[in-house]
Amino acid sequence: MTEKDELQKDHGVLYLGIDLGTSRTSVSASNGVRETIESFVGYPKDPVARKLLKKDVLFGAEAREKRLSLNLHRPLEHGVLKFNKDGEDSESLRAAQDLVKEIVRLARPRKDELVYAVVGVPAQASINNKDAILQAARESVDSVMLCSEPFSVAYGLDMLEDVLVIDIGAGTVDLCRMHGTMPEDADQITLTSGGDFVDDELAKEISKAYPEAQYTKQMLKAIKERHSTVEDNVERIMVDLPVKGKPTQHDITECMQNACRRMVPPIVEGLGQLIATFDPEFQDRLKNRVLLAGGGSQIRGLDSAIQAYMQETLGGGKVIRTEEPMYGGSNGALKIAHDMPEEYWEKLK
Amino acid sequence: MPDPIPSTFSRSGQSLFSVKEVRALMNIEFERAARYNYPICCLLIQIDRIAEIATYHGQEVKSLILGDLVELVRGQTRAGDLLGCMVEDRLLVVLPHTSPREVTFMLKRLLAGARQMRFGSGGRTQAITLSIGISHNQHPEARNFDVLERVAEEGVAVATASGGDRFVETELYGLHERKREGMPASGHPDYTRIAQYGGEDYRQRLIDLMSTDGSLEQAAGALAEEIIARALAETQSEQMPIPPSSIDASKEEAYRREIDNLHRRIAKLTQSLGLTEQEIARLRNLKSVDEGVASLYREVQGLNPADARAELKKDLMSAIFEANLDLKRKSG
Ligand SMILES: Nc1ncnc2c1ncn2[C@@H]1O[C@H](COP(=O)(O)OP(=O)(O)OP(=O)(O)O)[C@@H](O)[C@H]1O
Repeated sequence: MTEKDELQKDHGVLYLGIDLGTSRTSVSASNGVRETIESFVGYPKDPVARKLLKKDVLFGAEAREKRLSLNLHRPLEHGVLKFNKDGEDSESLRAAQDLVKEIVRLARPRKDELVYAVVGVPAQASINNKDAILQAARESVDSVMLCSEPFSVAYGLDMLEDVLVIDIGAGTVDLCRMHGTMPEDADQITLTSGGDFVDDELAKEISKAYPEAQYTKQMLKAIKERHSTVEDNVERIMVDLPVKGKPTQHDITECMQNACRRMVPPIVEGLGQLIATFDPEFQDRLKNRVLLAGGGSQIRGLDSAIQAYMQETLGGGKVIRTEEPMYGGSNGALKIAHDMPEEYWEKLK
Repeated sequence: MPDPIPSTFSRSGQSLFSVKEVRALMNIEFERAARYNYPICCLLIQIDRIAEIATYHGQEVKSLILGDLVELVRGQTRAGDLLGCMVEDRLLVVLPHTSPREVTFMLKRLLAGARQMRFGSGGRTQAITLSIGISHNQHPEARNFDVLERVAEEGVAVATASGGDRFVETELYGLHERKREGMPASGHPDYTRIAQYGGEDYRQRLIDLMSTDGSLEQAAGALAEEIIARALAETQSEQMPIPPSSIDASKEEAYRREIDNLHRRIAKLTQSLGLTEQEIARLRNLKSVDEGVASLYREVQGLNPADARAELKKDLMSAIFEANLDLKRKSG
């Protein structure tokens, strides 16, 4: 930042809370803007593709749709920036930088405002990764801080201490025990039974029930996002799936319930471990402060199902669902940014 | 949608002239080159298998490739001037002050450049090759621009027939007779029309002629013939003892100069229009910049001391800050 820039920026302070996820990146800003994009960054493969797309870089769903003409990146695949053996992978670092720049742009900051951002990063991000994310963010904002994503989710809901966060993403389910701001390794369990796992289970169920039915992964994911449920008494779930190329109605109610329910036992088992290894005095308190977050938490009835299973195997528990799973992380990060004292921002410029 | 392919172009960018007008300018360039004795070259450039590319990959891809080709030509030609237009998916280009020897070097670069110009579709990329016909005014039989164009056309045909990715000069200049489309082959001047205007109105007459058939070259030619006829008629009526041929020559020369000046003006106008267009495009881009949405806050907030859990939050904020400071130190 040059001195001149700083002098000009005396018209306001824009706070950003950013949630950098594997499958989605979201921002909540103190100007009321909230945006979310799929965490895809694509660069045209050749000059003709660039001309055709009229862009040097594409983001989100647009990048996914036009992937045939692009070198496509998911900068935070597996929750962390990708590194190769010689250090970071330069294109993936650039993709991360471009993604951060884009999400900042989507927040529509004014030129004359200071921009202070808190970025929630996966709890398992390494020092190298954090550094790369910071570098990426510094390009676009005046001052930036990182915090762990489960912490920002909990802070957003004013659950400041002793809370268990279940974050259901696409690739993973992250269980995190929060006491303080930065969870340590012993506070975390990562399961691979996330949203993609449910998609796979749903495919198995449908193949078993309707061997003739044809479908793609993308179709099942869309069906899941509309109809997912673990509840017993629901309206029948009727969907059109092609049979020998002809659209045919199928009742997939049981398929959906079975696939979604398979998510519950591993989660509760993980919670049990995190509770059992906690200070015995606070174990009960922890059990009753379980926070369900992430895109995958939108499965209907999942909170009650986890609670019921906890009752059965752990002898009790209470699960609270975040209101807005898509923005849970970014809303919390925004709150942290707001509460951060000025001198801290100054020192990190 | 991609930009439409520039139907005409010059060194500075897309020209605002129609194809017809650009061809007229090419004619004029040819005549000027003959008069001032400098070399010009004419190229006709065709993308090999362009019709198939359009069928399999769509018109959009075709337009893009043609647009890229124009860029490539612009980049590879080093001549000060460049005049071009699209003729049925082929690029007709005139390079003033360029000798046939110079043009061969440039064409090699152009062919190589095209081969780099891959286009992708369905995950595969394909290279592009060109068939180019060339001609120039250094051949004794290159009598007008029409001849150059047709020699270049034949060059393209030969280049394509021999497998493409090459340039060919057929040297068949002699085969093409002098031909002026739409003009009387020999002088049948329209005396009645000439009688309707005097010396000051030539300019207007030129504009009128252009508005009827659009081509500056043809209009200029027609006007020149009318002027000569008028001069002849005048001489005859005045019974001047001077031999008619010398009067023809001096008057024709004078009017020719005037027409030439008009052409220069037109060229200047094109250039300034080109600049204006660029400026408009620049301003349009500026206008679309997002002003942004103002934040709720005029100044840095910080924790509200009235917050019920201010103390705890303060500790948490400080812990986050320390962790970030640490991170900053480690990364240097
Ligand atoms: N309504 C819904 N019902 C069920 N699942 C949903 C729903 N909406 C989104 N999902 C699933 O949520 C998952 C994405 O969640 P989220 O956006 O939180 O991921 P992320 O945090 O970016 O990923 P990760 O935690 O792996 O980094 C996907 O599997 C998606 O199918």
